[in-house]
Amino acid sequence: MTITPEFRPAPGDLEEHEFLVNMGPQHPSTHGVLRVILRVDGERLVDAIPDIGFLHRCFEKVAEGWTYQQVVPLTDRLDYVSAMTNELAYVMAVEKLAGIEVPERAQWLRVLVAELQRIASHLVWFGTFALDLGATTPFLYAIREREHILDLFEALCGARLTYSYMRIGGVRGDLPPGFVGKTREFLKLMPSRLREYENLFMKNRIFENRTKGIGRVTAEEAVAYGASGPTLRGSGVDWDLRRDEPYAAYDRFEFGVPVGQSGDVYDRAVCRFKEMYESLKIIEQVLDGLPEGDVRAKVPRVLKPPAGDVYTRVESPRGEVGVYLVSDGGPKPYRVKWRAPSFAHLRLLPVMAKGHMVADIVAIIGSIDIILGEVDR
Amino acid sequence: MPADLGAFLQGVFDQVHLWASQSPFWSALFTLGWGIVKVVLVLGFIIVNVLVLVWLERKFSGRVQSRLGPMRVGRPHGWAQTIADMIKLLGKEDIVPRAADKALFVIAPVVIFTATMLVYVVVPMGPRAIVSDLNIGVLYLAAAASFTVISVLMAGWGSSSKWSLLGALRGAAMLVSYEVPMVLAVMGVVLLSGTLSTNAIVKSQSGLWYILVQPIGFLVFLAALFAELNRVPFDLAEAESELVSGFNIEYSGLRFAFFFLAEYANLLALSAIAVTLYFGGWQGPFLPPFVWFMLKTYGFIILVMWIRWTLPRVRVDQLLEFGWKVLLPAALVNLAVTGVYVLLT
Amino acid sequence: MSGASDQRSSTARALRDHLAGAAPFAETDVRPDGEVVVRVPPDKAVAAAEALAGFQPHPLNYLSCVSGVDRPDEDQIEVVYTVHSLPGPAKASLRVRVDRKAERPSLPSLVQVWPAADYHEREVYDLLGVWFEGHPDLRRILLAETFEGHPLRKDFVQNRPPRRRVTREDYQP
Repeated sequence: MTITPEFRPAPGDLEEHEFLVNMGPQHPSTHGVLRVILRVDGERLVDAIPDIGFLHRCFEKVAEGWTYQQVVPLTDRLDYVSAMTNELAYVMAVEKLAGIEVPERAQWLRVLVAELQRIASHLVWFGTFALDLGATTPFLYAIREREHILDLFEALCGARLTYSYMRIGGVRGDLPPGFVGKTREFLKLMPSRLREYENLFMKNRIFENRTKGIGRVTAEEAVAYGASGPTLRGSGVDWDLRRDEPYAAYDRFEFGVPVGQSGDVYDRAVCRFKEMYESLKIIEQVLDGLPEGDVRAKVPRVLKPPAGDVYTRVESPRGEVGVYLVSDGGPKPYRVKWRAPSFAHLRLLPVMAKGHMVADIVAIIGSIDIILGEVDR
Repeated sequence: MPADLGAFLQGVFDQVHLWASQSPFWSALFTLGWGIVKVVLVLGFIIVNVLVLVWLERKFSGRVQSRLGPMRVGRPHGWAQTIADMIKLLGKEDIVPRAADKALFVIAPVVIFTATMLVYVVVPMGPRAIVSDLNIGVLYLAAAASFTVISVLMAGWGSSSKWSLLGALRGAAMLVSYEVPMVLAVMGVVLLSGTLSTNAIVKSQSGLWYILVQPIGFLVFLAALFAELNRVPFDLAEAESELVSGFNIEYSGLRFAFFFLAEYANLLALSAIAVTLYFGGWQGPFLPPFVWFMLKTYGFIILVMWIRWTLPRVRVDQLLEFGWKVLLPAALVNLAVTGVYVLLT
Repeated sequence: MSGASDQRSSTARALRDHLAGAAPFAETDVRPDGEVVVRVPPDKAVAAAEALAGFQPHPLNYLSCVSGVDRPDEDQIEVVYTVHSLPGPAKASLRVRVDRKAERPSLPSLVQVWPAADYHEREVYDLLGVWFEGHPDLRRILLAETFEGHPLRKDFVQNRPPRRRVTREDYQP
């Protein structure tokens, strides 16, 4: 069935009792400018067809015109809720291509900010997920906790959302005085708050009814469609890039990886929620053992990596963020291809939505934790 | 003071009634006039309280969510916020979608407000302060409460928008399904008090509030109340985060204001009914009956708001399942047990 | 650390040997980090993909990324399929080059082998103008349906088709 923007299906496309509902780009629950065309039969969904591109900002083309260092702030704005991991993926790709060795302290700091970012991103997910399901209050609580993290980031690099903290060869600057103390305070207060939210929302009977058994994805489907992160782990596949293909300094830390069983919305949600506890553990280990040293390697002003290509991937809060970087030996990248996890997960949407009701589509989209910035680039 | 004022007003009323009964024409005019006075009083009561309720909801939800709520419009705690919002709504453009069924679209807000006002007819705010002490009060209530379904369907269908329609259908299914357990739960109270008149029910609670002897009935009634009020956890017809305002998506300006006000007027009305049936209405020592009534009603409203801001939303099929498979049997059991008790005593 | 990289190199060599048997037409290269680069002509793409997906004990079943790279100085567009085994240490990139000067540069779609290729191939079609034969729904994904041109091509800015007003007739011819 061809969907034209005019939104009228050709005769014969739909069964008699079906109709199309447009969950338009403007919608409180699509987490950005996502358009989903729902083919419904009363309240039952027959199909859900995503339509994207409303936030396409030509990142890849623009990156070809800027130098390698200049591209770093661009990567911030892709998955804007989790900017640190984006920058990390990109600078790791450049470092691999150019053969730059990153100092130890910088690697540890990278892990620190990546994990703080993970908690912040999962808090946003938690708040908006609750909001989608009708509970307005957890959102305010989640944002309140996230403010602590944003304050830490602001002290660290001056920005709350788009940091430009990573540099090719390290990070931009060292921790300001008082940072470690404030972070430890944050670590002390978070676990009890998380438990409170668990009791308030995750263990709520209505929440369980709305999410258990919804949007099932089997492990085979998840792998076949390129799912990653909590979306993949919710289906029972125990794969986490931080543990299985360690980068930065992740191989030095002990942490658990929550894995679900049935691949429904509930399992994905619980995986994501539990990851926050694990991130707190990692941050504590980082603070306990942070080595001294430089935070930045010496990198030439005009960086010209040798011709070649590389694919690096990191575990962002959403899943596998991959950067395929091609260099032609010049100061500007020849090709930067961004592999966004939400893009791959969107392909799972019709698979997950089949047979459920209209009210479930909101829960399903929420469980994928989609950010249109990285889908559309 | 209040006793004197009541006696004075009663004296005035009796005098005017005496003058009017001299001729059929004047008598009819008097009845009409008195009816209009009652309507104006009720309307005034509704409007003032709705303004307060909207403000209260925003403040209360703010506090629950660890924020402040309105603070600026009206220096202490933004008490004039609702008034400002109403003025803003009145100033908006009146948009009627081109494909809308104009008659239905226009009438729906009026119907919903009327339906809500109908409930106030049997709300007793004092021993004699009731618009009309029908001796079939509870039956009348059950009928009047069903009216909102019609207006929801009118709004949903008349808006000629798929999202409105979905919301309206969900809302209609929910409202209709929860009428039954609600009325059955109230039947328990009727059995205990032996009368359908609301004022008589209040008077019969002078020794014991019915909440204490009808706990299950009350819980059933409470659940059904949320469905009738269209509030989370049962706010499917509106479902902000899914249907973006459900059956009243296409409404703007004054028409939307009507829906909005009707929602809070309904909240007030049904809370008053709940207090009347289960918490002893205007009964209470020391304070005047009206004050007791208001205190209890607002206390109940706070409870309703509290639940709203804590729980997530239930899905429509789960809602219907809950209504038919859990609430209805519970209400029936409650009725049976109450009946046996009444029979034996 | 070295244990992991040893495993990667031995897996890469095993994969290369496997491909020598299952896909002899492919040119293979092993990179120092364990990535096996597989170059095939377009008509052999499906066979090579199936060979990769059939590698034991680490079948490359996880398609991470499909990237199109425009190489105008070689008159070719290279489509790179980056695949991993999940779980497992195998990593490969399947590279297919199509003729850029053709009206419709095309290669067979690999959706049958890796269903994840669906949206990725649509993106390569959208931004670079490479057709994928056999794709179930090949239409633009990021740009508007009426957009003309393929922006990621290196000559897009100079040779951009003139912009025109999109009207109702575009959708209802």
